[in-house]
Amino acid sequence: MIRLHLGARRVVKIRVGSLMLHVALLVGALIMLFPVLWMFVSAFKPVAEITAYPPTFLPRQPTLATLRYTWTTINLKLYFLNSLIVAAAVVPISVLTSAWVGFVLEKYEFRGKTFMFYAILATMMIPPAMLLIPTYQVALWLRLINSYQALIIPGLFTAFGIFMMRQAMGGVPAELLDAARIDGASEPRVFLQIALPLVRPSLATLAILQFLASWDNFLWPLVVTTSERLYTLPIGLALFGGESDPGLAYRNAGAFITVAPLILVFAIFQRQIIRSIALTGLKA
Amino acid sequence: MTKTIIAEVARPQVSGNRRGKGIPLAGKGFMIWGAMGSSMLFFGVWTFFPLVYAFVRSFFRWQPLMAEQEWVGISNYAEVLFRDALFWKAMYNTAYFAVANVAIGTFLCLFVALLLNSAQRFTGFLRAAYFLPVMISIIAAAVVWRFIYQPRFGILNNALLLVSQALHLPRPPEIGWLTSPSMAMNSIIIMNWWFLGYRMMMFLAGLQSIPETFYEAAKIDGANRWQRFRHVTMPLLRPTFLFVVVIGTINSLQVFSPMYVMTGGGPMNSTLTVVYLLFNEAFKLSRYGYAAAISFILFIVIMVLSILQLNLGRTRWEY
Repeated sequence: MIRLHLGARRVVKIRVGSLMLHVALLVGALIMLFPVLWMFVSAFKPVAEITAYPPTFLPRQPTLATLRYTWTTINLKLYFLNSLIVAAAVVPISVLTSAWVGFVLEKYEFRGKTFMFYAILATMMIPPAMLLIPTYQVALWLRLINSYQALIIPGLFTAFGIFMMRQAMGGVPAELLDAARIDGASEPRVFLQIALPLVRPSLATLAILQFLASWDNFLWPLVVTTSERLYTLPIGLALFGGESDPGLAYRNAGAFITVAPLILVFAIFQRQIIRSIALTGLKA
Repeated sequence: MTKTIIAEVARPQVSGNRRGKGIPLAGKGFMIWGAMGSSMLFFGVWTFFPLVYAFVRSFFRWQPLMAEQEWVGISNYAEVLFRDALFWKAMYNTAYFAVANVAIGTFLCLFVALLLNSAQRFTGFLRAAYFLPVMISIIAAAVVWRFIYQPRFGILNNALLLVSQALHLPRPPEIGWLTSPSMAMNSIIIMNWWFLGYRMMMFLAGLQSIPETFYEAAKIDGANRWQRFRHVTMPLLRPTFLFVVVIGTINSLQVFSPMYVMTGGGPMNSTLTVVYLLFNEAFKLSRYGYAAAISFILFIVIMVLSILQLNLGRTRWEY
């Protein structure tokens, strides 16, 4: 225990152990934040400064030239647009299908329900790497290679989402649904107007997780797109620029553009994201 | 009309199965058939059929655009296991990565989670800072880390230089973090520890679900800090621990993207993993049957390890 005497009366007591703990944690936090900061400040440096020796931390003359070159000349805006198109299709549809299947599995009784539920659950145990080759063959048969459909269709249903929404639908009181039925609502209406609004927090969480997964998706788009026209951000980022030093500078600017929306999402939805990942274990 | 409905509702409802029978469910059939039909079709086409198809085709010389597929029996499997030195190299690399990521990584995550759990100040900021890297796409992260690892203008070598100058040590050599066969995999592993936030959050959730009363009871019984950790925290954290280890193993054994972006599997195949090998065999060499055989061998390894871990970690008691 350290006692700091500040003035006549005020004595601040600081426990040494607690102080050391906080200092260690803050230093660790700075180490964790450093690569992000480094990416951030480097995106605003001219290429010559990025590849100069010795390196600088803050840009000497901040410029948008590197970002602008990456966005227009390297055409990252096309990849950005592709990523947006895929996410705009996959996120709402997969959230809706998850809620629908989850609702049906939770609120109705029908033959084969348990079997189908376990079948969906079982798909989560299959390593994605195993399915890569045969699903590629399926995409070939369906003539999906090099199309937006190839990037979108395999994401329209998600076993994880169905599982999550089924849990959420468990919290919807059956009496409420019955009340709507008595008032003459059809089942689709009961689902859309009664059940869905009640699970809005879960829908939002699933939408965020699906957006993150869609934005990060790498292996599948890498396999099914060979035309640059269809590259999403991760593919573009992995393949452009080459090994040259300026290439590294432009890639860094590209990484900044890729990550910016994610950091924005994190800043807004931090609570939901941390809670959902802590509870479910989606990715590692 | 109204009368009959009310009468039906008023009837006592016996069990969950019969619930709602008294109320007309307009469109129930559409809901069930629509949802289950479409989802079963989807998983049938994109998961179950491919799984079976790949298994069958792993016994063929399978190329996707070739009409005739030649049956080769178990020779794909035999070649992978007994004649392909590269497979064993990839297996070794993958195991090396998995051990570092699971054994060391898990304890790192637990350690940070324990520290964070006992911090009283800046908790919101600290959690966000440790978690932030998880949000960053692995590809974008790999780009940034390649930049950090760059030998000449990368920040890491220059930081080492500064430190050695400050301590008046001889000038350190320019380390090729990603270009030296002995360092490349370690560099990727270090990068991967940067993503500890995800598993750390799971540990934090586990730690916070332990009721405070257990610690108070232990204190009253005279348990010191270590004893409280050893006999309260550790056993109660065991399910979380098991989950983190199993998921971590499954994911580590399928690692691919960081190697693809950081090193391309090199130098000298030192970062070639099993999934990378599978990817090369299929999409570079068009040997689909062979790649399918690799994938099933990997699947068996993952299954056996998961079952082993789940059995070893099973608890025979509950609170």
